[in-house]
Amino acid sequence: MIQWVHELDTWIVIAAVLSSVACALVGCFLVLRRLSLMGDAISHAVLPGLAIGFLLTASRESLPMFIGAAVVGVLTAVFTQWLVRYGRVEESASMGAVFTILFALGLVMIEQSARHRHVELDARCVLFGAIEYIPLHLVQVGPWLVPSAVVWLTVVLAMNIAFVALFYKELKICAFDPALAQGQGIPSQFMHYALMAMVAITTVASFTSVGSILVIAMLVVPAATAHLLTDRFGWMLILSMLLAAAAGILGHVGALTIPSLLPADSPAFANVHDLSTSGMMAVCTGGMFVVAMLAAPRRGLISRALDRALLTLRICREDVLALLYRLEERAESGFEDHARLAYDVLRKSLGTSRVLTWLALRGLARRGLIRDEPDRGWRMTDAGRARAAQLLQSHRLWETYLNHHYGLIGPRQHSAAEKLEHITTQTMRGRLDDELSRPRLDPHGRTVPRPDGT
Amino acid sequence: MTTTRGNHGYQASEGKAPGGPAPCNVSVPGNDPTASVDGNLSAPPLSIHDMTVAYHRRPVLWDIDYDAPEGKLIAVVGPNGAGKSTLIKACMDLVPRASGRIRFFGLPFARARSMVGYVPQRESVDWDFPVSALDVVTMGLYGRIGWLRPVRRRDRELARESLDQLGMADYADRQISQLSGGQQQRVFLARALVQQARLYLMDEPLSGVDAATEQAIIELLRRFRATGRTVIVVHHDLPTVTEYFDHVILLNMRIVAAGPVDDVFTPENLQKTYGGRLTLLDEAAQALVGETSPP
Amino acid sequence: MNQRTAADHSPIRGESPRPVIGYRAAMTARVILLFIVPAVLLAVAADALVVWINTEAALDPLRKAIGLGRYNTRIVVMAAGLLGCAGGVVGSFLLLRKRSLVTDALAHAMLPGVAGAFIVVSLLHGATQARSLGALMTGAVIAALLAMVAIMLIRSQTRIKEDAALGIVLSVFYGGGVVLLGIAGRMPEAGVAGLEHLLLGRAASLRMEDLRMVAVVSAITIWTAALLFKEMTLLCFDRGFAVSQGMHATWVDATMMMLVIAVTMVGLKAVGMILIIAMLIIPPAAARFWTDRLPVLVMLSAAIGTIGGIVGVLLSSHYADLPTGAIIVLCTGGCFLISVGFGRARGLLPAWIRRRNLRLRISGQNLLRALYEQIETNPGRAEQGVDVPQLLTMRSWSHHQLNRLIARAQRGGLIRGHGDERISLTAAGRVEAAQLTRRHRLWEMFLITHADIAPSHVDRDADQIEHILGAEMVEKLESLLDAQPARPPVPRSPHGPGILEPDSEGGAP
Repeated sequence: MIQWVHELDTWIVIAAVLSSVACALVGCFLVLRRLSLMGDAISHAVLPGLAIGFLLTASRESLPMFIGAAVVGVLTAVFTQWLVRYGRVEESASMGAVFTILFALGLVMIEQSARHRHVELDARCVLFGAIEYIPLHLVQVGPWLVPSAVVWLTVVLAMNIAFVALFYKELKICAFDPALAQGQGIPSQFMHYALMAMVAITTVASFTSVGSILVIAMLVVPAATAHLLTDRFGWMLILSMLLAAAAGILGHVGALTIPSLLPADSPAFANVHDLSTSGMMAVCTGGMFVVAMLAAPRRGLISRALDRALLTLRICREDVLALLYRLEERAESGFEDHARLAYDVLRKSLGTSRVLTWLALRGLARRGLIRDEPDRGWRMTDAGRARAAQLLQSHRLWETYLNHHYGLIGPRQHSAAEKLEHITTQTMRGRLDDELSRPRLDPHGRTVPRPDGT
Repeated sequence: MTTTRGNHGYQASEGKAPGGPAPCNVSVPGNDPTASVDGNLSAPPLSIHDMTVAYHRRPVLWDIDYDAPEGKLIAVVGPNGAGKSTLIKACMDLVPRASGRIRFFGLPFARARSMVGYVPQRESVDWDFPVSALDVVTMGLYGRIGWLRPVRRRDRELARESLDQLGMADYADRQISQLSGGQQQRVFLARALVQQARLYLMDEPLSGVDAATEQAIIELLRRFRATGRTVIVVHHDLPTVTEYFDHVILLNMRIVAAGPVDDVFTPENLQKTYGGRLTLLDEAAQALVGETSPP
Repeated sequence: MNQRTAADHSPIRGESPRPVIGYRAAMTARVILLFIVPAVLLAVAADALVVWINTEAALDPLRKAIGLGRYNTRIVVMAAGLLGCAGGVVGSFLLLRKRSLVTDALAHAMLPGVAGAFIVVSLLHGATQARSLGALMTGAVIAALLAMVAIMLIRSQTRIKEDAALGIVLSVFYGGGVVLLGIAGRMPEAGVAGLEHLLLGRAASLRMEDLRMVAVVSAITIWTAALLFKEMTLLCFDRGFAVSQGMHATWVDATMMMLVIAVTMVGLKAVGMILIIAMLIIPPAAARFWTDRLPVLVMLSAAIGTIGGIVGVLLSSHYADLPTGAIIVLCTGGCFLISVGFGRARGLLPAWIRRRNLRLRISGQNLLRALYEQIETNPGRAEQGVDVPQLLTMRSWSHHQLNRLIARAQRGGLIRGHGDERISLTAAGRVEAAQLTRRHRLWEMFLITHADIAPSHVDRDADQIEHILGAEMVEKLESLLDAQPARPPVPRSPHGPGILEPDSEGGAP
């Protein structure tokens, strides 16, 4: 199904992984310092530095190019800061102004040089990357022939890792609390510019593989995904690199496989054999982000929704128990025999949905708190009665408390107590009881049950 | 005393302080030639001379002259917009000064860093940041650990100890956004504690915290005082000033008055600081001063 | 006049509750009367104007006047000018709403919409239909709206902050667009050349129909912005307050973003989606350096946008192979750089001059005051002069700074030197110094007596304190100053013992 050409596709995947991992590592700091858009700005703005380096050496990867890019990257940050500080232009607008102008300048320079020198750096490369051409430029490294882009990417990745490893705690403290860093003699301003230079260099190194726009995906998305998944700084760095590597691999594999999923008989897609690898890499990071957003432990949308649902269910169960208890109370005082309840009656008096009520009843029955007696309907077991008494105790104590301290009466008092009863623990109940000096009756004149026998 | 400037607290180091304000090259009577790199321990913990801070054209602080006494708890009090936080930030070079000379123990801030601890306002950091409470406290040691050296177990032990002192040992491994406001403030205080500084500058550590945290913080401050440290606290709650602090700085763009609480925290001075805004508080403070002043 | 109509048509609910049905009907009538009808009329007029200008009758004088002979150049120049104008107007609000880079994300996010629309339409109707502007624009708008929803979801549902949310949406959508573009490019008879030009813009490919679209959209955009001027201003300044006033902030916000999307959409072909935000960001940012008033800002920004667009297009018609978008941005960027340097309100040079003057004036004043205080405490020094080293200790100036200040004051005839590092005030200097010191002490007295309102009034630099505080207040302060016990008459510093002496209150060791 996939036509994997070793000399081509392996190198492409390696380049993709290297560049996305390098980007993800510095990207973590951008995301945490709320500088993602600075990454966006720098990746656009390095273009003129790149073009100058390119005009000097006529090669897509060369030292002058990296130096030019680092300089322009730092300049972007400096200019933006000047505009904010002296011109009092809002930060995102000053970034926008700086990087669009620099990008336009770079674009004109690149187009100009492409036109006159017939070299292979053009606007298409800026826009889409040229990862497919990476295996075509090989250089001799020891005994092996290696694409020059891969060599440069390896160097840059190693630099990034060394930079982060050596200055791990300085970078961390500057990201979290620059004022504290400054106070301890760590030059947070300098670290900021060093980071910007690293971003610029990484951007240039990744330029061939993903172009200057898709690199934003590599900088921001894996880091943001990792931020969703973990609460530890070190783990966030590692996780973001792993995710980025996965995106690199999946991106290329996806680019090769997805065309075969298109309707083969349609003449429209007859010529579509592969897709843009760099585009697919960005899409993969996006997919990972969505998955993390939905399914992250604790904070993901799904687990949060699940938590909410479980809470609702628990509250519904407790409401059922409390209702049964109240009905038994009434039956005891000789009003009517309502202590037996059919499902529909229950549902109506609770005002809950059919499914929820059913689930609540099942749950209670499974826990052995109620049972369905054939002729008498749902009745509490002894364990259920004890639990229900606790609930009612909480409820009535709260009503007394609210009435006592805030003068709440009637429905408002009831609804507040209704919410509070579900979150009241044993100790809270005890303290409430003591504080109110163990009232026998609640404000409505009903007995406060004391299931613990006190 | 004839002039207000020039003959108090002016103990600039004659040395060529790198990064500090250019020292004068005229010999000044009263200069202390013994000021050394290690700081002049007899110099006041914080000495502000002729400081002016302006945002754009608007002056925020004028002509501030102040020498902090050693080993005291000092409150900075004043109405909103009086420049309380700016005072602290300007001392620590976090806000540019239009003029003025700041000395910590006779040294410019750049060289006195290890002796000065800073507790910023709680809102100044991103609480979603992926670090645990222990990590945050450990950050207080980064300056001392130095470049290119990793955080060692001993450092973490120190951090854990100081968390423990604030009753936060159980929360050491929590991500910081899962802490309550008071707990977050305690983490900041623990971080200050671990810095082992001799002077602490704190920006509203008592605002918006629960009663337990307030007590924990006050206890810590008293412990600092007991070990001879100086703490300068931006404070907003007038009624507690007399209870918690020894000295007070009344600030409203200028220093209205500064000195021991009993002498300075008078209704008259408060009136000068707060003006008509102080109707209710005024009465409260008067009542307090009446209660606490010696019979 | 716009303000007036806007007031009539305000979506801010009135104080008194109105009968709902009548209110609704009146509202609808108003919207139709004040917004839709004029907007349609304007759009038609703009369209007709554009068409008419390109007829021979109008062309002759125009051709003579500005040399816009070539049909194509003319169209492109008009389109870029209109686009710059509309972009400048909408961008002003965008800048103030701090949404500049949201537009960047939306513009990039249009790529999958355009490419997707091309694929879908060419599957359904064939490639010729697919290249029609309408289909592509619809796709672009849908994608932009989806992107906006995605940004809002990420921001509200996760701990990811706004900046990262923008970065994510921008790059992932764009990546999807690149993939789709790859598919579209391999389709038979693909007009992909045309699609790729939407990225960087190719003004040369603009046709009459594109110009008409630009004209219509610009007219509607500017009219809407004018109508909602008041509402958008309030929204930008203080959303919370706007909501509390009963404004439908969400709707105004949505309208604003729709205007942005509309301008971006029609700008795609001329400037391209990568650089279109420059048309929205740079003109208002440049205008900001010249003025602090919103109406002026909007007009200036429109003017800068228009000029940048026109000059850019004219330039790029000479260098046909360069991307027009880039040239337009560079021209607007030139205006921006000039504004940053020389803008009257915030430009670097004027600001630097102002700051320098302020610093010199303040330190000059400090010098005079220091001298005055020295002489005041020891009147003998008026004749013998004051020791410079003595002055040095009074404030935090360095020897060098002090010497420069003294030299300056000497040139100004305020100070005379006695040689031997001693200086004193001249007669003029004494008058000046006395006034300064008086003013300073009055301000200090004001701060003490009116502590509650003082911080917002104090302007130590004002020459005439009376102008700010009024003669009456100054008189009162003066009498207070004089009334202080054991003091020489005004001017006298309240720095005396008992009021603000850190020393006497246990400050110094």
